Amino acid sequence: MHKDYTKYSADQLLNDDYFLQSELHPTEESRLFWQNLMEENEPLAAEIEIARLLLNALEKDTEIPSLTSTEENTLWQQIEQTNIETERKNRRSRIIREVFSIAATITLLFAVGWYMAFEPKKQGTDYLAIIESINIPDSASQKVQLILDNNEKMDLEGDEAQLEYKKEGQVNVNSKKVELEKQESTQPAYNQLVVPVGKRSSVTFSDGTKIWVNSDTKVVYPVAFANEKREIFVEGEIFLEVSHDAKRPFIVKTKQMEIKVLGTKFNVSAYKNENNMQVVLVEGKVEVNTDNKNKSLLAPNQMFHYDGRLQKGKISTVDINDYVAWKDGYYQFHHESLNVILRKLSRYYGTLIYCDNTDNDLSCSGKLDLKDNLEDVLNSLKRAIPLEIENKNESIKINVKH
Amino acid sequence: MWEDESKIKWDQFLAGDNNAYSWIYKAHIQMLFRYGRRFTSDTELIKDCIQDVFTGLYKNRKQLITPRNIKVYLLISIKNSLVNALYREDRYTPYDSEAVPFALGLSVEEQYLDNEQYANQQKKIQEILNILTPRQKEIIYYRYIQELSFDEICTMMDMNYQSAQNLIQRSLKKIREEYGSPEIFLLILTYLAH
Repeated sequence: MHKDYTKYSADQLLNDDYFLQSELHPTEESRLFWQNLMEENEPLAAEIEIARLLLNALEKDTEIPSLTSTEENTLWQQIEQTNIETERKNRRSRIIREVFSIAATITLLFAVGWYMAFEPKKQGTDYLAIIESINIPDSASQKVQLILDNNEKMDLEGDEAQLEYKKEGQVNVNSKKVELEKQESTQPAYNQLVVPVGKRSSVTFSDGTKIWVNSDTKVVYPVAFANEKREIFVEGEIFLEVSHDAKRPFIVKTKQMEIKVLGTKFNVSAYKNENNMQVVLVEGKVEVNTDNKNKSLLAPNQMFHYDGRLQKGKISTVDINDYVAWKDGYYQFHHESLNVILRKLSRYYGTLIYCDNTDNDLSCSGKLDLKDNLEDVLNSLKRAIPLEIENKNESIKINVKH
Repeated sequence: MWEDESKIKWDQFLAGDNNAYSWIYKAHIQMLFRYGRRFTSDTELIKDCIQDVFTGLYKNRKQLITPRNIKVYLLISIKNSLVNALYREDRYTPYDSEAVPFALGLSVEEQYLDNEQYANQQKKIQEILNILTPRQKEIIYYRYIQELSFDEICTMMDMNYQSAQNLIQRSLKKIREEYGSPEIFLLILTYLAH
């Protein structure tokens, strides 16, 4: 049953599977087999001893110090941490890819609702993906748009369209009931309000919270708030009157800030192409978290100013009307630079107003009634600053007189 | 048995089961760490490479298949990672596999430590091992310590069956020749037996 090992030398034995098996994992049978051979054959016995000597002489793996259980666990934690980061990166790049592919078809399909249903849980990135997939028309002739969860796009009439979500699920536009198709879905449904330049809007949510939405702004919000929090995403400027609910904090997310409140009145300005973002608190208390991981608490009449490029935040005391009066139809400025004022007016009226010498350090204080047409507003401005107004085709050029 | 269970866990891991992933880590970590010690004494580097291998598995798990042999697959992965870190700064130049040192030491048996004969014998074996090339040491390690089959050794060392056979044959012959005549060893053994 076994080979004839009579003439085997040590090195041949070491290369023999049965010999190795017998040495490394001996059984009673194998032990007896080799013992018999060794008794019968002295030269073979010597060779077997040499082979064994070598096998036994080799340093066993178990003699090498192993990792301590602490080291083993620490290493495992590092592996898991890296994996979490990988997942996050994958998710982000997947979303970016999704957005690009969606953006290509969006003008035809308005597939946003589908997208939102597709990735409903990962909201931090989700919102941005939704927002960036829709272009705000930069012409004042565009209407305020409501984009529903089922991709449907609805135009809202008027310069200051009002939208209201009733508790029982009914939706009113400009105080008139509209029929929205109900979609049975386990995923939270999102709506998006797109307000172009030259238009304003307001939304009243089912919890009673009201937001005023300034020109050139997008807001994404769930049709019904979650049980544990009320969360919306904004790019642009909104003013909020949050109804108090201690059990469900209200969270306003922007690309670089997250503002958390229980019930309060405040203004958030976080435009896409501006590095300067502000949160101005009128009433109550808010907590602002930014992407530089700092947390700031605001008291009434305080402004949190965030420089998105430097990732630096600063709190100062301000005249709140300078920042929130737009919702009541006027702008109020205290030593505000001409450039900022012109930018705000451009948005509000939907007409590009520009000033060639942008490095001017002109500033201005006063009120501008936004109910007036742009020409009147600029004429009011002319009384404070020596300006020359030049009407170009679709835009207005401002020359500062020296 | 162990290998069979590893394969089941591997399939579960590829299907997205993180517990199976953790099981694979726990089942192989000490073996892989000790294997790494054969190439370097830099334990931090070994840990880094183990981390790279496991996070790489996780990252690519959608593209992975179940290897024929999990243990061999993991050993190769660690070896490649370590060798890359240690010797292949330029990853486009093939490295000289003979140049990668491999530590194959001697077992220390406490009970004989004071024995002069034993000490001499150990010294002799160490000398013999020292005349082996790193690659010969490596193959002896796979064969007698990791107890890999020839097929597995071929995979590990990236060589065909005949070359692997020849390599180990040469190594063993070298050892056998260095031992000298069996009679001398019989004397040693007789001495040790008493």
